[in-house]
Amino acid sequence: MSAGNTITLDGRPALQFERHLKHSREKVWLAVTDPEHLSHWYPLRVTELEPRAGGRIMFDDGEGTIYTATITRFDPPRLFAFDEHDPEGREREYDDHLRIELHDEGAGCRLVFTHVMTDPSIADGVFKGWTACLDALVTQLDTTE
Amino acid sequence: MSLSFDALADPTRRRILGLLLGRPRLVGEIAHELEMSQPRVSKHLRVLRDAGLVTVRPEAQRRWYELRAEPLADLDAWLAPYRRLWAERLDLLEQRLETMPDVLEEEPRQAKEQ
Repeated sequence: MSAGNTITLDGRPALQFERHLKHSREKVWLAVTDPEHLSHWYPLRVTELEPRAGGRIMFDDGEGTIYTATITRFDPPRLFAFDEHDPEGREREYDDHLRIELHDEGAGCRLVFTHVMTDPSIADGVFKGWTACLDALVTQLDTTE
Repeated sequence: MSLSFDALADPTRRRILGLLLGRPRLVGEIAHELEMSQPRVSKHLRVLRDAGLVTVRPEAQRRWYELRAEPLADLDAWLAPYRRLWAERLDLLEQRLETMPDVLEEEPRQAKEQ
């Protein structure tokens, strides 16, 4: 599958993935915006999601940290985007930005997933968080095989 | 590595790198593109050179500023775990979609703000 391209968005480093999915946009929209479905594949469990632009998302990492995000775009079934804030409220130049676009493609749709990164110079904590997340994922994969 | 990231932390310097991504440029061109004074651009170019992100190639009376890709490989390495993470997470999304019932196009989940 797609390896993910390194791109820059407004000069910030970002990763972009494109995938063809053999499901309708409506169905994929549900999978990416419904808290239960989203929790199933997103790295953090979603405990709350106000489905509108300006709405709040609460993520629980299962280790005592609650992450909040603000939805910046909510255009069903086309565009879903949010800014993920620093969990400790530390000031930083930018939030992480995640963006999911859905386009009709053949009988299914094309998903374009973009993760615009926090400034790397202050990303140490974030990096550790993701590493822990990866470890958890590997464990999960090992136990489901 | 941290030196490159400090150099990259400034939005103007990221814009300069963006310009140099296309092709080598003269300081005057960069100043024109960014609508900034030449001395200010030179100052930013100095930081980028110190960080090893930019080199200068003299040619007759002109000095071409070029992007140097090696430090950017650090950035790429920094992104590698994310790349793996999301590739795997998107696999999970596909698996989830397989188990979900198809939704009718007539009734997409609507949650518009009034």
